[in-house]
Amino acid sequence: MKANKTSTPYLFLSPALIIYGVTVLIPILGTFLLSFVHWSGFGSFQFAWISNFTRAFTDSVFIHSLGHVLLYIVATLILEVAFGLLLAGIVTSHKSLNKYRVLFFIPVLLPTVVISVLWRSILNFDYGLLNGFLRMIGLGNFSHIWLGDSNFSMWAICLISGWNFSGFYLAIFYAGLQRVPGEIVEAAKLDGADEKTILWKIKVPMIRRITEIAALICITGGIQSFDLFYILTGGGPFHATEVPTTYMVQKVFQDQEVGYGAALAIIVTTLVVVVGLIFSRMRRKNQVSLEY
Amino acid sequence: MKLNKFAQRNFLILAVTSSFLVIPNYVSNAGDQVIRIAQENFAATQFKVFKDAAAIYEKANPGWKVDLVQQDGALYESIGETNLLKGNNSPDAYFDWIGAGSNLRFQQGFGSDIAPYLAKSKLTTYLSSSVLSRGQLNGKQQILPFSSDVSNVIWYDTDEFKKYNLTPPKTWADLIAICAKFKAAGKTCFSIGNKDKWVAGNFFAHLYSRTIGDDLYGNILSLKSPITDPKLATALGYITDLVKKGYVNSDVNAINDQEAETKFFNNGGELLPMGSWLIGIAQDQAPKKHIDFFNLPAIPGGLGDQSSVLGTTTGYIFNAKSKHLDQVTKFFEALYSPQITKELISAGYSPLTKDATISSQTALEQKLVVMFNKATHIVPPPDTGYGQKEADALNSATAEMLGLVKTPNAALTEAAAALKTK
Repeated sequence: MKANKTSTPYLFLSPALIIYGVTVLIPILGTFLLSFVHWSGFGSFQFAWISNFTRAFTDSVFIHSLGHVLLYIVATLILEVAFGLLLAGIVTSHKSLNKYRVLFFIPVLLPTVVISVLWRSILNFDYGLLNGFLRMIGLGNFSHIWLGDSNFSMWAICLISGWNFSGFYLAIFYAGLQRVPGEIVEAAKLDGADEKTILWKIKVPMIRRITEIAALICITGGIQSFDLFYILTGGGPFHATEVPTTYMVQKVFQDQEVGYGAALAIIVTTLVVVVGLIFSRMRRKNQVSLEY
Repeated sequence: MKLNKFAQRNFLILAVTSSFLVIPNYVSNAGDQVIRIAQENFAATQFKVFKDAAAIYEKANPGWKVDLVQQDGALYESIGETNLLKGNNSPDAYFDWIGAGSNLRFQQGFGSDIAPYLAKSKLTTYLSSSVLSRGQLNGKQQILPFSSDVSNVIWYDTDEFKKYNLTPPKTWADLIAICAKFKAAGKTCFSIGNKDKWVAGNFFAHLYSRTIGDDLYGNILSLKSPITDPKLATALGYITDLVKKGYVNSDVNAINDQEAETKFFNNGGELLPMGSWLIGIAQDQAPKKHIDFFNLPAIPGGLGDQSSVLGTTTGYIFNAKSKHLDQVTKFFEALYSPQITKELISAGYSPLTKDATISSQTALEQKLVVMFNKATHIVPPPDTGYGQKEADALNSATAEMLGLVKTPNAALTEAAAALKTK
């Protein structure tokens, strides 16, 4: 049978386009338009021109939330990506450690709510495992209100995030490292290179593209991070762990400032897009690579 | 236009796919004989009472069904109620707290004057005119009063009080003396779970109204007076004093209300500021613990009513968008009936019906009702009595005092800045 109608491909595409339009494009357009109004979620709009955006850049809580997310990204690049790469290197270098891959990957399989509740219990001041352990070994002075102290809460979340997602990057890097041709590794060994040298001088440079993608996932995911922060601390104490997404939820749903929340959403989305563009530009510039 | 078979099939696929997007909307709205009642989530025993009321209604009105929509309390108060009302299937009647929030719903067009429905129902025989008047504003019966909640008292373990030879305090100085005694015994005086800000927010809001005066308290939260009022800054100083003396659990801003309750039930804190609903929670979680409560003691030199009670009246708003308000009225006749009133009391509610006063209540419930009814002034809590933004600004200042991260003046300046940005 010959499909001779020019409309046929569009007909096939239309269900997907309709769903994509309704669930993605229209909400994005709607959010963009809402960012230019004052609206409580009910009743009529009040045109705000760009005042929601100018307010965002003078809102100390929002500015600080950007700082927090930057700190979180830097920390998770180390605790998730770098640590995941290190783990993958160790696991691929020593065959006997292969079975531990599953153990590192288990946290990735757990829902964030479960992880958050679990860590809230572990870090509880009174009955938490961490403080209990510190007291047991005579270091009770170091026991702390980990999630309730503005000096510690951000670091606690970064560590939990590292524990949660390093297994994900381990899986990515493990797959990449497995693809490094055996002959190259063998040749290096014949030249007298040890496992450490092979990992850092040969394997890691050969999976640079994968590392870049992992870093991009970590950075853009960091900007959009929400669930761990919301459940563990709710942005507190005193906005010490406030990130743009938790602040957005507070503004839209609690304070019913839908227009301002939409402006924050647009700013965060723009940030994600800009980071993505910078990354792709950098990748295009560095086309020459050792990668297989 | 004539289509070949291939194109006809494509159109069929498109039509079927589109129908998946469109049909559910029609199905859900299709001429139903269902009334939807929305509110915060129930405990199992409380849900059973509402189901019983629904069963009475459904039996008396064949063909009609009651859909009890329940949501987590914090969710309902923050985004749940709003989302339900904005949805296509908005509830016919919904739970709310009498105050600025319920008035706002009316302004938003989600409230119907209940008076005409009351006039032709049995509800006026179940509720006294004084109770009904609590739900009246701007000449309209905005809300159908349901129960009274004491939003904050201070709970204690009677065995612990006996052990340390203590009696409920009459003044703030007495309360401090009790805390000093507990501290000397190596115990934490207050167990407060303020992660979500409303627990200490309620407790200290009562202290603020007692200290600065009920009118100024109301004016500040209604934005008629500046939040930076020096009297309020002085009142915030009471918190600094409590914290510096070590009378409040150090993880106050890290744990939530439930964790603080667990602490209290396990003697990890001797005094628990919490509302009347603790009775039901204690029955479930610590049935062997002997608890009692006292109202916030008098503040020396306080400008407010020193026998006031922090409380609120809850009730139901009839949704102006509903087409079934006659049926809704009939459901509430069942819910407010003497039979269901008895069940509500057994489930831990404090209903406002006339029968509630002659029904059997536990000693603690009776004591709370008497305290509420005898109060010369009812102070509305920040979160349910006023706007969310105003409540959050004051509650955040309270939290900062508890964390000793700001001076009272700095905390209130920050609160004022937060209120300005709109």
